[in-house]
Amino acid sequence: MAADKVDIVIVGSGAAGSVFAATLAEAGRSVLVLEGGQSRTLEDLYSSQIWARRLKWGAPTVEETGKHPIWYNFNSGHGYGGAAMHHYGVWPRYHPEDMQSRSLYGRALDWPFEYDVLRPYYDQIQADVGISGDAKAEIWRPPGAPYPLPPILVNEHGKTFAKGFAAMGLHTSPIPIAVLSRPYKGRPACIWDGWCDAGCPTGALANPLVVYLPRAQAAGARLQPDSHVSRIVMNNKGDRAIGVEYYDAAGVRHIQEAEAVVLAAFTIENPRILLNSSTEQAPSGVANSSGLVGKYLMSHAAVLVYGMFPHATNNFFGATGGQLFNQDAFDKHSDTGAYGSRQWEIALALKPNDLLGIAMSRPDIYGAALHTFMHESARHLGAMVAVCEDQPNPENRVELSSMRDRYGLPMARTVYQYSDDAMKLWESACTEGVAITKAAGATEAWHGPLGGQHIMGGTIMGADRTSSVVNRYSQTHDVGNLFIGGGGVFPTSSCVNSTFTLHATSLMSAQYLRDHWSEIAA
Amino acid sequence: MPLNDINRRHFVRNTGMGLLTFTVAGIATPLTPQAAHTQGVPFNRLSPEDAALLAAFADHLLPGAAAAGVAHFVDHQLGVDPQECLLMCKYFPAIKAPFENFYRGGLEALRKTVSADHSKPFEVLNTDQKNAVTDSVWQGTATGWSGPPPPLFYMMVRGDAVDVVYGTKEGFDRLSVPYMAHIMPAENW
Repeated sequence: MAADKVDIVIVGSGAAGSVFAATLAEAGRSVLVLEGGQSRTLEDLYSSQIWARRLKWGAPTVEETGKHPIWYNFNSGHGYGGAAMHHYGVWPRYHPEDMQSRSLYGRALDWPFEYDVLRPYYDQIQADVGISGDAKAEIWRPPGAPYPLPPILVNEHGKTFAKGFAAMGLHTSPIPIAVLSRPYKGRPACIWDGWCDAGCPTGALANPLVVYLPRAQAAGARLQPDSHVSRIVMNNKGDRAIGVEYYDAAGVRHIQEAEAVVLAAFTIENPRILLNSSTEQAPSGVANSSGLVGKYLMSHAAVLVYGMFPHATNNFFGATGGQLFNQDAFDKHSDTGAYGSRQWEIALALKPNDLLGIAMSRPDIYGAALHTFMHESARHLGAMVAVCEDQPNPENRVELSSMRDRYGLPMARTVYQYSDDAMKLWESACTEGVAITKAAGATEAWHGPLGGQHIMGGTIMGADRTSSVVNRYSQTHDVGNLFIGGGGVFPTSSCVNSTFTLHATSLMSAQYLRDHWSEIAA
Repeated sequence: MPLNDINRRHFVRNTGMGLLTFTVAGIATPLTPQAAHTQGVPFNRLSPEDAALLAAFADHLLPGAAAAGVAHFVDHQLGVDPQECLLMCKYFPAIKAPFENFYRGGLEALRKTVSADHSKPFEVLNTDQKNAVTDSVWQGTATGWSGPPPPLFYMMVRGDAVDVVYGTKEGFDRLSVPYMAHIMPAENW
């Protein structure tokens, strides 16, 4: 079954797909967004950590192997808005050295451009979205326009940790966060209820349902749920995409023709679709002449650090992503023996339950003691998280599994292990975090286990078609009318949260597609 | 609806809380899991023995979980499409849908380890004996355990217990923590 041809079909309605959709629809292109999950409105976003689990994957689509899990289900998203529906909105920028790691330090990879190229896209995105922060106080911040909104609330929770950082000779700044401290462009300010990862129905936290998808739809883009894309459909010569194949909720197969295809189905699904799209001309998968589709998978090694304080922290109040920020350890060699960066997100709003809730901070406690712990923690617990860079390694990868999904298609299999550098950064963060927390006055301080945040790589960008999958505009080297959206195009992970940067790279890519439409669609 | 019309007042609803549909005497009946527990409503996915063991283990991990209906909560969610399932286990890479296999395997392994060590069911052990079993599960040293990783099973059941006791508006009230809902879910789960 074939539907009417469109100019651009976008696979995925999350952070990247929504930026492409808005940019291209506003340029007058006919745009169809195919979303593998369900449709969703703001009124579906219940304030409940239990109900919030609907925003994440549950059906098995990824087989995780290797020493360290990639935590696909927890990090990815399902339905309109994708993973950005449950993200915390912490939006720092990559630093210039993150993009020139090979040139400057002889380590990792270079991006095909320097920071200054991406800077105007960061500035445009933050103007669109509304980021709260204090650019001057954020002493590590790369050049860029000041934040459009003042910093968010800092309550006793944040002030307590700030004392600990100061006692250790470390700096803190307001966290750069895509949560509105003031009303902005018709969206209300946050009321600091801490329901960020349950999905923010007021629109105070930027997510695709309140920023780019409404713009895309207003310009005529169509969103279609329950449309599970299985492969890119290529022309007979194998040099152009002519559309995508997808299955609807009833399992009926469809072909959607398009002049151009944007894959924005998340870091794991994008390579899976490319690898599943093998043809006679491309037996190892579409856009894979380099053999690098799926390679250089990256994640951030993270650790939560907790402290029990003698005074009330009011930890139930605030933003889940935190109140304060620190990048004193951003220098690539700041931790002895470890290459890479790390950062702190400080004073995370807490809920009693769920994976990152109060109870899971001490999984060893049970019985009556757990009730006691819950009551004490609800008043006195403090929490922050360190995020550590991992290094790009082609052995960390997405490949096709022998397991099949409900449509009979090979699932993705991830193979992952953090680098020694990442583990050293993680260990130093554990030690430093406990010391900071004690210095802040905690009567007890401890850290959680190794966790994984953010997933990047797998379709990396580069200047050379033999060493990368896409070019600087996220256009595949092999197929000129096939683009990739999302953190999958990052050649390095930095230690910063990926959502702001993937918005910026997607905007750069979408504007290139818009401005070169006649030659790309020809 | 324009975003500037969206505010907290709009979203907070006074809907009936915590009602799930259980089948009682062949009739679909809206009940809270607590009421289903009290009335002894039959289970759909778990056997009565597994449900009893799950409730007892969860209640030992967090007293009050059985009365809050943890077994009915889990049983109900095991009957839901994995994508819509509200159990925390869906996050974990080592636990694949259908999640029923994870719970059945863990409960069977727990039953066997208790039998090997104490020759009687978990439900009738004294507190010290239950603590010994629980510690061995959490520490991964449970005798003859054959099933999902025991610490993972411990954490998931403990998480379910925390969900039903503290993860709801009533649970927040127990902790004197303001719930501050934008949209109150019509059901607790």
